[in-house]
Amino acid sequence: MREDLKRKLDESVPEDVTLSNAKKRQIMNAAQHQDSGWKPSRAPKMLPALVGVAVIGLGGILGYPYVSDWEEPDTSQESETPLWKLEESLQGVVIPRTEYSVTINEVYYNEQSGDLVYQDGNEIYSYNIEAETETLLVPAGEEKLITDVVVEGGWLIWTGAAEADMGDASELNILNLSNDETVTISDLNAMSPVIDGDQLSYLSFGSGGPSYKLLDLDTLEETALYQSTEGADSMQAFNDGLIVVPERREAIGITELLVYDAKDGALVEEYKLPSKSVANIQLDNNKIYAQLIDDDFRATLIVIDLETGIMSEIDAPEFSDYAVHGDYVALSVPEGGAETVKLFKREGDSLSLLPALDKIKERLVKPRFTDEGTLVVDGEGVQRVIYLLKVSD
Amino acid sequence: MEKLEKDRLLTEAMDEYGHYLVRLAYSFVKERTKAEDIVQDVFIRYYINLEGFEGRSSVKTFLYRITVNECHNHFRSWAHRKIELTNKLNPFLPNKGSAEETALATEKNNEVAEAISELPLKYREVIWLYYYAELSVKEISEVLKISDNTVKTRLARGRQQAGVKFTEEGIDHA
Repeated sequence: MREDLKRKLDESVPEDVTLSNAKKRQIMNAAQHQDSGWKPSRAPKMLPALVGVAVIGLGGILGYPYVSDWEEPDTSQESETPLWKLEESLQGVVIPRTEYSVTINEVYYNEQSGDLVYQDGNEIYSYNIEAETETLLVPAGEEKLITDVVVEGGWLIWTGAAEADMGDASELNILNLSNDETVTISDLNAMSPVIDGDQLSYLSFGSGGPSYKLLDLDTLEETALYQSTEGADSMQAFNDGLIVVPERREAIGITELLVYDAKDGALVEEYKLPSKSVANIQLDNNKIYAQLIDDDFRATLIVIDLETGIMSEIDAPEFSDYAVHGDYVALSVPEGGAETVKLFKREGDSLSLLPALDKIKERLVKPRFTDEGTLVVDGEGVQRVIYLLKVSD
Repeated sequence: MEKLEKDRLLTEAMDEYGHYLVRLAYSFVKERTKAEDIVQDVFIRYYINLEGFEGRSSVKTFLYRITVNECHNHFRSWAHRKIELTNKLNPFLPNKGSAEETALATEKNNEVAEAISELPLKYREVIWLYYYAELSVKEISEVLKISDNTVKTRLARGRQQAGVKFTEEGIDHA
């Protein structure tokens, strides 16, 4: 039976799904490239960076009509960090790992506690950077797969489900980090949780279909925001008391952005983006950022100023992922046949390359900023360093 | 470890396990490019962690463990979730097939695989690892970080649940 079943399983996959020799060569090249990267010491370490600014070439501009007028975006920012301060703040942290903890993928930096929080398999840990100590926050539960983890301020939230796919019996777990109390809400069918302050935004699958909801983490009071009808290519964004819910309108080739006030759940604004493929929506400093993807998978970075309602395109080099805080933009850009993260300063609708990450020779991935203004990127070298770069005070 | 030696070990691992890992990943993600990307990341991690391996058995376990974990991560990603979301919304939308549906339609020619593909993930993955990748119960317990007894239980329940379906479909599976 074992041989017979192996054959049947094998037949269920198309014959030409295999690792070709060309792909093997590509893997070898990529492995050698990454392995030659810079290797830091295990302890948290301050890294010097070169000082200087280079202006990069700017990408093309889209020619389609926009719902809002396009204007030069506002260049005001909260507090500018001198380049020498950027240089001083770069920090590489290595979480001690064994052969069996190499599967750590998503690492969250809780700036308030100074902890890196991460999921490894079916467990969640925190690693305090200063004390260099690891704490098991959530032990393994064999019958539930952890599907989402988010941490911010005093809250750690994760969803557990019997299936990694969207199941019908997922649970939401809320750990108050200040008193170690955990509340579990069963059958909430929640996904894509996002914390802001003491509130949680999530997408729920109830009998009425997928809908975006808001949960007060102190009182567990729930507010329904919006019932999705077509879905979207980005999850919702939630920051500074505002929630942005995307909804694709396939028939007319646009994506609507619905902006809700988290205080009362009221719809306060609607925007229409001229693309049905809008990814990675972010909210920062009263501005919405998004990545518009065209039919050739080229990305365009746009910003909407919520004060004026004006939408602008940011001239950016070719990129696949981004993160933004104030006037700092981190982009995943092509380099040497692979991709790495570069830091840019936004000036008007242009970006200027900053050298703050140049010292790091290994490939960098997954750019994200904390609310407090620290850029977090993952190194892809041997020790899987997590790099932290403070861009604003 | 010398670079030439690392290159040799990576080549050997890709030759021995690459084909199976890509097909295993495809069975999870139903997307050729994604399956190749996952396996590429797996071998790169193997290469940069090569000095941590002592025996051949741990290499095999390591490669399958990272592959399964990357597939789990794919399920957690928004890229996958949005497809799931669209599928959930399909009753309200004009009828059009997704890539996943196309892949699943191809699978329908193989009723045994179809029955297994409908099992919950925790049963499906142990069946693939046991029957297709030919990992032992002990190795699967290391890959999934669960106990030997849990592996055995999931194998038995997976077989049982798939077996019920086989019977319902009139297929002799014993």
